[in-house]
Amino acid sequence: MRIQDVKTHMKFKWLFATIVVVALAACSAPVPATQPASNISVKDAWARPTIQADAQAEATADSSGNSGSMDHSTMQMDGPLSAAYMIIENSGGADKLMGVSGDVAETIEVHQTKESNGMMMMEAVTSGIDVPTNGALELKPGGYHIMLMNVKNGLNPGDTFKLTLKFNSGKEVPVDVTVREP
Amino acid sequence: MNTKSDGFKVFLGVLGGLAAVIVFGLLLSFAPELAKVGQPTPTPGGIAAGQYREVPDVTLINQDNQPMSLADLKGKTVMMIFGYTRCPDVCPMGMSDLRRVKRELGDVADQAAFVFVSVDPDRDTPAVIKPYVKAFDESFIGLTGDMPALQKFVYAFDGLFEKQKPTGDDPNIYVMAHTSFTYLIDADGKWRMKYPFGTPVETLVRDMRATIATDGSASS
Repeated sequence: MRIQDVKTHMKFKWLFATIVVVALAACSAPVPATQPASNISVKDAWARPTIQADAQAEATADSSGNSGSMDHSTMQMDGPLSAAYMIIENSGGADKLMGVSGDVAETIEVHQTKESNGMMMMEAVTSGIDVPTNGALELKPGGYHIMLMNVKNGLNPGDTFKLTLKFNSGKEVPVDVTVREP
Repeated sequence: MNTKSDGFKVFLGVLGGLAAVIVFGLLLSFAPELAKVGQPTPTPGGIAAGQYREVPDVTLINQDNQPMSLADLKGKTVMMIFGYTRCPDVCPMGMSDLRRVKRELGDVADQAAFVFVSVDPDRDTPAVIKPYVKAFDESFIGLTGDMPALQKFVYAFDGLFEKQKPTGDDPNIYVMAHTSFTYLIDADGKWRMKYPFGTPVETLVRDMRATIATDGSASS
């Protein structure tokens, strides 16, 4: 009898603990729940054409033939470069653009051009960019841009490629980017 | 009663005085801008270079590895930007704008010259600059120089540039910070205007046309 009592008591104890844990989880859940999920759509995604690869080859050939002091760096260490721009619209709760991936280039980073001491310079954005509630984030020349370094194949006007935007909410949004002149 | 209204008058006087000081102060704070504009007509969208200034007498190196100074371009109305070929955002945008300006100038485009000055001489040799500028337009001129010459040149346009620390392990991957104005120089080699990054192409075209018109009547 006694032993049974204790056992029942123990059972209730576990039940109670479980209830407490579930209740706590339920309490903490409403915090993200009050923040509605973001609803992201992207428009006007475009990227600048790269400077032609043959032009770069010409540069390398030219400089190898010269021995002037101006020609000590014989070739570019890195490949063609481009930047992608777009308008990221959000009809839901606030989110953050955390990163971008794709096959178009070896390195893809989100950068910000900013003015500092009267000069324009560029910084990698590491802590994400806010996409406000029912608002938009515009990536545009002179501001935020997606930098494409070592573009694998040249980008010519009319070409398209895919990027995937990664958000703080865990959402991944695929984007079709069109290559065109600004 | 009397003293009270006197006091009120004094209060009003003080208030009026304060207002006058504030208005005068505001005027003063705008005055340098007004004074700077001076002789050139201020143009919305651009900033006049004060009294028209002589361009610096500095010899740089062009895309064909030949010495060149802005004096060699006298007779042409010049639009110029500073940058570097590895610049991903601001410089190609500026170059695209210059190309659009040239196209919009149409039949007077041959009286204009467009110049890109690289402030990154370590990487931007003439051989690297040449295909870069030609990719935008066959007629575009690309200049660079050794560090002292470049500094003298850029500082003469109230400009600045600075190599930033390499972003990773590769010492060849770095960003140049630089002034991003577009400069307008008349056919007499006088620096007239500068335009902040993002100035509409229409504004640049309008001012180039106006300058070419006056340059043409003055020199020919």
